[in-house]
Amino acid sequence: MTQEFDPKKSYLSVKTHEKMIAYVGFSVRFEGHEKIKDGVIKISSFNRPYGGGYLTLTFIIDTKDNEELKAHLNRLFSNLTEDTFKQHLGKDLEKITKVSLDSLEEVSDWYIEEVAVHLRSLDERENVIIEEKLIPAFEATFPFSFEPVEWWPVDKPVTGPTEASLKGHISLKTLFRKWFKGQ
Amino acid sequence: MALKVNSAETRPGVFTVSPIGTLDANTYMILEKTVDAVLKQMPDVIIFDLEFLDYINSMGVRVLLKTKKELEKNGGKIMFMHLQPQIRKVFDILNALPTLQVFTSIKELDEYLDAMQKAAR
Repeated sequence: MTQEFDPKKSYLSVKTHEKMIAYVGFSVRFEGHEKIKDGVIKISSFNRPYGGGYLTLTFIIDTKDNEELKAHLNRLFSNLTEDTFKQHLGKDLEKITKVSLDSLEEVSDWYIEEVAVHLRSLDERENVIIEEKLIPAFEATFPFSFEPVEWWPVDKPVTGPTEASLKGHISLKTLFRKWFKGQ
Repeated sequence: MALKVNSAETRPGVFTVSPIGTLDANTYMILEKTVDAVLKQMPDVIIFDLEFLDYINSMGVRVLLKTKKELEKNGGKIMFMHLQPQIRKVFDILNALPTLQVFTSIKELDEYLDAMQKAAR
């Protein structure tokens, strides 16, 4: 029996493990194009249980059927390599992976490219890594100007008291016994 | 093409925002202004009815993301109705609005809102 491989389904199943943490607006300046183009980046993160993880930046740029502009963006992202980030991320950088989403779904109005930056350590430093390292790296390489990062509201997990915090805890019953029985 | 935005409180705390036309760099402020006015009323739910939205660009996506962010701060929800195939395609591939709730008809949405209200009682 043969099973058909659906790249889109496979891609979406990988995406379900990622958590959107922020988005950021930006504009692109192109020589030879009158107008500055706008874009938005969706930023997601994935923490590996054994340490490290990756940040996924999904670039969405308005191109509206402008094939020349799409080709230009394609060339820009093709030139993006690990060396682009090495200077900013140092030894923390493991690798980068790029997925052109045009290959999964034809979207004529936008250019969509995804860049995943794999890191040896993430440890809830996403905001520092993004604002102080990744965005400056993109600004130094691409003709992009970024707006301030909009962080997604954090879901505060509801957790009960830990076992350690309960150790040494005296219940009301025990306290009454102590008081009235002199224990 | 210009953008026209209608908004109405269809149930207590539930607002429907319907952009009509093209949502791009020249028109996104019109939607933003309407949404800001709705957000001031501390809604429980904002439903974007996108039946007559022909085109959305990244500025439009930013308005939707900003709305979701503001709503979540106060425990509100964002929902969508009548997503056009070309817009749905982009939302799908991006998974741009996590826990996105999309309804294909008013009946489907009404049933959901009824269930939500019952659960809240």
